[in-house]
Amino acid sequence: MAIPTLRKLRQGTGRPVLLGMVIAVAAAMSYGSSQVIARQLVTESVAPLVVSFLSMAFGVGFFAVQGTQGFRKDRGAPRRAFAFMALAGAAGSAASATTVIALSYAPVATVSPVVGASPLISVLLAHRFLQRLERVTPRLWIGVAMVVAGITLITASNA
Amino acid sequence: MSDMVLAILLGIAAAIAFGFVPVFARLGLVHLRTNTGVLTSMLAGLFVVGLFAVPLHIRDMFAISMLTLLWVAILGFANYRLGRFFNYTSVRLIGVARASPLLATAPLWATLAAIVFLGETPNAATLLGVVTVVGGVALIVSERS
Repeated sequence: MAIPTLRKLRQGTGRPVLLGMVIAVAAAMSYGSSQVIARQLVTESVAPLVVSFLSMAFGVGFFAVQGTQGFRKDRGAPRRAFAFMALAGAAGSAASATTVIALSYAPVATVSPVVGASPLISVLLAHRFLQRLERVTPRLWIGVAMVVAGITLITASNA
Repeated sequence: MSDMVLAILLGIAAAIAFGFVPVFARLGLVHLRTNTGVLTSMLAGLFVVGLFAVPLHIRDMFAISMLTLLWVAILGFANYRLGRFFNYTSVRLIGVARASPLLATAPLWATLAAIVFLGETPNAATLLGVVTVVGGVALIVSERS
């Protein structure tokens, strides 16, 4: 299966903002399908940590070639950049594990709306720490709040 | 402390940790290619999960059937090879503020897939949620800055 690369996708449109939004939705669709598969696997009495560890190991395997090529090209990059990416991965894994533990104490309808507020926290952090890289407008705040509210409704109503 | 309070506190901790992910990624991807960033983050994540999964479930890992392992591999492809690559690419292209809420729409797509492919009937709250999400996404997408 041909996997699109950033360069190929950019060559296709030349419009990074629209392209970025389309790719973000594609990521959400990938995550959505993952949720369906993960739910099925966990209900088949495979421990969530096992599913998480093995699927991530497969993910590393699927990405090994491209990732290794990237490492070679980015040899001269600052070490703090690698540290930030490692922190991103570690934070994501810690968050997933914490969510699983939270779900063992309370139903999805209680936990998901709380965890689902993470985009608000991301935007708050971006507003505080990434002012040099991006600007958060009131319109964006309202949009983020509506998405979080809507996802909370969908998750709670399906729990 | 009741179970409910503990679950909510853990949920808040998870939300904060999830909230930091795109911010760290944005800072790292200023200097790194997306491919390098994705692999670095996955290796770190694998290490963290492995710290708990390997000691607790090493026997369970070898007891999994081949069919289940195939589904786990498909999950790894969808969640990491596609999902995380697209996630970091979008953060790089449009930033945290616009990418994060769009990425958070995953339950919307899961719900729509369940309606289309599994024939599930959405209730009023789900439909209201879909309309709210679409409205929020429209606001984010129409932002020009």
